[in-house]
Amino acid sequence: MKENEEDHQWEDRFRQLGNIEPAQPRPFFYTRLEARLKSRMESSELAALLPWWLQKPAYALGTLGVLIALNVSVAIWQNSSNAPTVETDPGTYEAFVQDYQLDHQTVYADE
Amino acid sequence: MFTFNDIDRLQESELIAELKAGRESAFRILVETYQDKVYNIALVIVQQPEEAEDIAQEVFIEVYQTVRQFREEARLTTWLYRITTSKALAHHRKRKARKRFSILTSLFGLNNEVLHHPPDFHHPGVSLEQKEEMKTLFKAIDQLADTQKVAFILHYIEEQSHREIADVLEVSVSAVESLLHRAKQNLRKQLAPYYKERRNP
Repeated sequence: MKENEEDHQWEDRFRQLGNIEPAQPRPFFYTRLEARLKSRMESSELAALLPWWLQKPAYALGTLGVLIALNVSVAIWQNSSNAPTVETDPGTYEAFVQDYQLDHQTVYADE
Repeated sequence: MFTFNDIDRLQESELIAELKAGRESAFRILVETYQDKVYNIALVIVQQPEEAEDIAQEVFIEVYQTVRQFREEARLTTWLYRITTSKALAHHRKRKARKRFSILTSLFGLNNEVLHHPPDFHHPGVSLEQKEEMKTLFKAIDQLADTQKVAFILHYIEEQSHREIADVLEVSVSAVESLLHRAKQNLRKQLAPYYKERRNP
């Protein structure tokens, strides 16, 4: 009996929430919404011009990362292949052999 | 013979047809009809007027962008309630996560104050004599689990039936009854000391 009464009491307390006047947004809500919708649509139109893989920041950053990695690897490869060769004195026999590539082994070397 | 509900539904389907056709006037009618409802639910869930307005705007933007996919299996209000509650809960979860993070950073000395600590929530529709009691009640509601909170708010503030709440949450009516029962039990547990103190100050 007492429990029932207590249940009623709690129910009454909760039902008071239904008597609260509903809150309203600030005036000109529609104007602010319209402006937001317009800017959202403009940015989505702009985004539509980009390829799908550039529309998402994660993909765009990933692509940028791949491009940077490719550039760095090409630069490293270029540097290593252009390593300075040992210069010989232009007046010597070794320089003459090097210039005319006479030091190359040919298939006729044994002949 | 048409009932009031049928007439309501008829007007609703006309409004949806106009929205699907992209009529701006229909969108304006929709916003002006439901803006208070949407804002009020968002406000009760997030308990911050600026965030509630932000959520209300996002709700209508989503409606505008996805109304062509709306298949009218649910009522328009059910669909609006569903979008509003899910957006508000997501927002609220994000804020709680930010708050936890700011507590953590303050512990490790990255900054000296705890950010994102909103003041006590006072609903603008509450009368002066109920202000203190409602503040405590809303604080307790904020502690409820997400689904319990939505079920409780829709039932006691929006005065929705169990069937309507079940449609919003996409669960069975018995699941809603169980959610409401648990929500009330949790609130009673939290609020019992407050009411005890009020009776015997």
